[in-house]
Amino acid sequence: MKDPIYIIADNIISPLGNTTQENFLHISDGKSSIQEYQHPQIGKYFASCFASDQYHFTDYSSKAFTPIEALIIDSIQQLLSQISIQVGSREVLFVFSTTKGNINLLGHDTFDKSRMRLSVMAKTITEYFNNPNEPVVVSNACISGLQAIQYACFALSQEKYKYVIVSGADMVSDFVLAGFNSFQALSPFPCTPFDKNRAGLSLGEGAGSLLLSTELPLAECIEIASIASSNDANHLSGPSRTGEGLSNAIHNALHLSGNKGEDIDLISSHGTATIYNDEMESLAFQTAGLLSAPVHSIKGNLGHTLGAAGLIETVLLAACMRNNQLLPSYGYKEQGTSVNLNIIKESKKATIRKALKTASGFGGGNTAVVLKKAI
Amino acid sequence: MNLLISSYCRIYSDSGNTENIIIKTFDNELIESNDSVLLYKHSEMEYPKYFKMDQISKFGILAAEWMFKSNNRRNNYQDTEIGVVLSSANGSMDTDLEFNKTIESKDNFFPSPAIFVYTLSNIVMGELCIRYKMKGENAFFISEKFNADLLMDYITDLLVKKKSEAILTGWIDYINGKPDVLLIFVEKGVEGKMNFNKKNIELLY
Repeated sequence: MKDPIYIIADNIISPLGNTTQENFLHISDGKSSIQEYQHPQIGKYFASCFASDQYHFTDYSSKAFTPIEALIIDSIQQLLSQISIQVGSREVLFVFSTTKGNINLLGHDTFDKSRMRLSVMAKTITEYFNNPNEPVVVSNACISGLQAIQYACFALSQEKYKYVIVSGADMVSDFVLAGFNSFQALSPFPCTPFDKNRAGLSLGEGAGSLLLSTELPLAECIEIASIASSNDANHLSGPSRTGEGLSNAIHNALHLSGNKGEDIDLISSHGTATIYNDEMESLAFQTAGLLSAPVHSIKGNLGHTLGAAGLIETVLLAACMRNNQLLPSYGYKEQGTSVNLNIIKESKKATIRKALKTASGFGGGNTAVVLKKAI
Repeated sequence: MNLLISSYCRIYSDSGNTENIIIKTFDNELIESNDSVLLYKHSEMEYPKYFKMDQISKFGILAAEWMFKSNNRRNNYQDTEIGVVLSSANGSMDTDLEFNKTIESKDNFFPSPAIFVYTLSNIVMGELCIRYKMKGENAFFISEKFNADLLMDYITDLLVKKKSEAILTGWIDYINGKPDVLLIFVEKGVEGKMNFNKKNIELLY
């Protein structure tokens, strides 16, 4: 990229906490918000969900916003509390990422059904912030979050905007729960990414947001060095057996920023804890020459937050770099992939100059992002 | 850099007769019955997987089939050189409503994985990538209406920065039984039929 793109502010709202720092500290301490729930038809399942009394979403009582809209608004408010910008200005673009948005409105009459259209949901949020620009919405399954960052980087490189706010969220709905359960993709215990005994994913809800700009901030910060996507062109719901698609995306991202596999000091993997995803990732990391880099998956702490996952995990990766700390991969005990990865078992200090975030999803998409410390 | 449209296909519901759809390419303009079996036969493709797809994916595949039939430039590129950048208003909404019927009733709860997989907006893009072995850059946007600007600048950037050598782009929407599709194949160089610019994209739509 010609102009460096900096992370100016960031936020995570999850059942573990309402700021990046709270989430970072809880994950560093080995906490997980995945709990047992009961569903009348599905029975017992594990997920990371907001407790009904844990978090009071903005203005939710006024019924102006659906829970996911209020969650995204809150996450953006947290960003704006870190830096003073004119959010209502033409210089600020909003880019949203979600897979199912307001799908919970199906079967409920509280809100107009038009809100299920992601563009209407996005507009509701930008109107709250009095922003005049047409918001951009990315919906590309589990790579949505990273692709929203990819679009944001493109928009900033065009020099049309001074700031881009990227924000994404997904909720645990009956819809998604029933779907993943029908796929037999839900783990019968809290998910354990990359572990030998892993048995599927656990869903999670949450929001992640980043404020990006080409303007160098005063404090030490993290730069988005490069980003690339690819498609497996192989199967809709299963990853490629060889990891070719993901390794292509990683290769292109590394190449774009002039890096090699050995330059990467930490990998935040997709790590859903399904048998095939984690195996595929291990093969892709091998092909890309990344076997020595420490790896974690955050899914064991926060579950799979779908359209928010790429954002939440990128924010945590940037926090690792700022804190010079490797976050552990919760739930991992024993090698569970044919290629041995350097999975992080406990939180420890390390110098992290460059790091990689990857994601892969239904529909065959893959995205890889390289972050680096701006000096 | 000179960017060109080498082929396109537009499919939309005939406003005069809603039973019919109109299919346009550079060479052809057809009026066809809005019937997925007949459309498959008339396209002359051999791809049995078509019958497993949801409606939006079927129309995506049909449009690509007609587009490449009019001018097959796909094979001039390696798999990883072709990017796909698509957009839609409703995404998977039509299939979302269908899947929801299978989980609405407590006594009649039978969610099907074969339907659930299509409840993501980008699945039609996944189907296109599988069918035509396109493995390059990918993006799927949701916008209120067809927005040529959103696609134009992003695609130009991918081609200029050599992240892709050719791009399949456009708009794929399907709701209330009506398809609304525009697929365009964009290339660098001299063999295109039309310049890739906002005016021409809007003309084709």
